[in-house]
Amino acid sequence: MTEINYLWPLAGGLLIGLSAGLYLLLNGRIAGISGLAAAAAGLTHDGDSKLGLGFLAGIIAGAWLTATLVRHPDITLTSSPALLIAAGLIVGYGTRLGSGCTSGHGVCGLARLSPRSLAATAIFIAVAGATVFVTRHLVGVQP
Amino acid sequence: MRAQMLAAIVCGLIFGAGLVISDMINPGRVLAFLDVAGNWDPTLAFVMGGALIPSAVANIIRSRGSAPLLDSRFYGRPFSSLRQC
Repeated sequence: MTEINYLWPLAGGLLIGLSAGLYLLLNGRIAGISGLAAAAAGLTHDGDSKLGLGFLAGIIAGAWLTATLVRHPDITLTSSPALLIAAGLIVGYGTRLGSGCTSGHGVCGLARLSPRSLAATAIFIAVAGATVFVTRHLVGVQP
Repeated sequence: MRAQMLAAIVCGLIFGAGLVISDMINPGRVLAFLDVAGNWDPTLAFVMGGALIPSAVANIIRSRGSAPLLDSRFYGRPFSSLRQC
């Protein structure tokens, strides 16, 4: 098990939850990134595309500012751009099919005790864990 | 609409800050959480736990009010009715 400093993940998690909670209480909407991205792309019919774009632009700006001023992330990408794009397409399709992702089901849905979100979160984490097990430990792809 | 847009941008800024501070912007960190048979990294569980606290508080406040501050209604189902489905 990797030794971690628990304060960074807790503080970051509190901020993510604060963002989701504020979005619910201010705009009455779910701060699920896949849903916001779908809205931003004009795939929803409730006229939310500008709000989706605003939220996504805020994420990029907030991440950039924080990475510059507070904590510089040490990111290692081991996959090729083509593989990342293919994986992104699969994730996008799956999250729309499952009506949400880690933020929509995990952070917003679990907090309102939604059985559907609990099922979705348990399944996507289990499948992702199985995928990592197969690729890293059976096929032998190294990170 | 302008206030809603501002709220969306501010919430996005906070969300982005949270992603970087928790290091969830790093795919390697997420993969390490999923790799239970390898060098397991529990970071994501702490992020999720931390995020659920304010999110749950907001849902409790929501269940007591009839509308959000900047819109006429809540979109999506509330907490109590979801418990039944």
